[in-house]
Amino acid sequence: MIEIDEISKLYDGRAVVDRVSMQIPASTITAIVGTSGSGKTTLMRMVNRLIDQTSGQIKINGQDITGTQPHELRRRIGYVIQGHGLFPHQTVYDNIATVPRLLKWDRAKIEQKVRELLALFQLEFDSFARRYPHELSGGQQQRVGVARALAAEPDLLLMDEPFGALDPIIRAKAQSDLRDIQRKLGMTILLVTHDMDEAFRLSDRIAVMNAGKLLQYAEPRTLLTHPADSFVAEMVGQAERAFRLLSLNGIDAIAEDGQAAGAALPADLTQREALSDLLWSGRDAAPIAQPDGNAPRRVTLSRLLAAAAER
Amino acid sequence: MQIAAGSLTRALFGLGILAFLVRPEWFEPALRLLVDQNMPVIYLQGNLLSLLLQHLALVLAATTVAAILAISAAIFVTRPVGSDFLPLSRSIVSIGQTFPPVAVLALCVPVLGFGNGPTLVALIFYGLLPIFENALTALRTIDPAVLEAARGSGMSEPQRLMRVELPLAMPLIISGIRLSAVISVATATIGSTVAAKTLGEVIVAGLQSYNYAFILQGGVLVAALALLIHDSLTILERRFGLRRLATTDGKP
Repeated sequence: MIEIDEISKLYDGRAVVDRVSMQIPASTITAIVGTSGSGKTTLMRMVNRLIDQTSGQIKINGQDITGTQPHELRRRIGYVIQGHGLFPHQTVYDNIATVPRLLKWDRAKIEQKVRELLALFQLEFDSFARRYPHELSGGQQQRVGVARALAAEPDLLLMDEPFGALDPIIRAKAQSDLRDIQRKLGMTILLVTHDMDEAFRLSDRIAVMNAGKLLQYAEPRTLLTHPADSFVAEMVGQAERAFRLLSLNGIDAIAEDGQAAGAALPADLTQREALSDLLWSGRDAAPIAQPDGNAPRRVTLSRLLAAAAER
Repeated sequence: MQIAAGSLTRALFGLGILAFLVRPEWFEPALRLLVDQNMPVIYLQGNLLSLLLQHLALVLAATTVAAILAISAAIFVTRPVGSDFLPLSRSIVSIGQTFPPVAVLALCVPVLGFGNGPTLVALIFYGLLPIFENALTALRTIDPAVLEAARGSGMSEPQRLMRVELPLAMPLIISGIRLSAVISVATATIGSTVAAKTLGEVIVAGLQSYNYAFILQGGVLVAALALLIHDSLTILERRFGLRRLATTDGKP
């Protein structure tokens, strides 16, 4: 749980972050979105004291962050930056071991942790541990960057445009991997992005900032159906609103019993993907793949259209 | 092929130098062609090997002191507290480089007397600039994302310096030390004009008596020493640098 209370940052008397308050629930993913210069990165960097606030208060799990030395605070908070920032002179192993070593973990515990994280990120220990960052692909570098941030088992992970340097295909995979890992480990993630699709795909809640002010902090659906003002509406993309709504839910939410013709859709599809499939194949309904012996279920165009306009 | 040929030439040259140091008389017939009939051919007023070692020791001492001073200064002015001193320290080391070593020698002799002292001072002054400038460039051009990651991971300032900044700056710093040491090898010869024990002694003796064989012996030995230092520091530099040649465009 992170409580941000009336936090401001002034540079030369100009507020870059202007009296922002928000409560971020534990074990959720929050994305801060906004145009460049909106103060979103400054807000995030105040949480681990890379920038000191001018006024206001931030508490993590009830503790005021100014009560701890900045470098000690940062060892308890994972931090992932755009372009990964791996140490080029250190191996993958040493990079991941950075914070545990600062915390003086013993050798065996560190090695166990590195093995565990490499396995979690689908990197073979024997072939990757001794490699240097320049010997990795962009996607692998990014995963090692996240693994390094998670090495000391932080409750909170801050991510600044973590997928910005990746190409679209690897990015989609990295995003879904992050989501899975967050569910598995249960940490709180605060993520800065300018990519609305990324924010919708990943987050439980989205904070929209403009000119240093927090305009709205709500669940993705609420942002779409009840934007606080015209800026938020524009930011979440009015033209795509219906599709965004559909992309938030899986087809099981609107599935019904019954038969339908044609190829079955995988059960884990989003409603948006199902709609696309129906439009493309020219069907009014499609069967949903079911485990053997279960009653047949289907998704229909009319229910998809209704879901797209639901508010 | 080219590299192999280069190393072969170096090796042969090195063997020749060693042979000359151990058995100078082998070279007497060749060197005799350079001098008049009744002149000495081989420099015998001092042992050449011991002169070479003293020359080397002087250069090493001067370069070590210059490196410590220059690197400390570069570290200091790249910290937030020291950034105000950047222009000042830059001009001090530049003056050190512009000031002719001969003038430094002349100015030091009245204070330090004849011998190695003035030469050491001149070499230290003269050697500061390449090391300082390289260390400064190295420390100021580290990828900001890497420094940000180091801060974000919770490294304290000294930890950042020792674990990230210095290791990353090391290849360029060593290259500055190499440059400085090679210049010092050559510059140290003029120390012999104020009675420093260096190979310059041989050259000076040759110049005073029109003995070209002496001049050649001294000159070649100084060149050999410069090559030796250049090569060993290049190897050291590579060892530090090899692993991260392709940090920007790294693909497996």
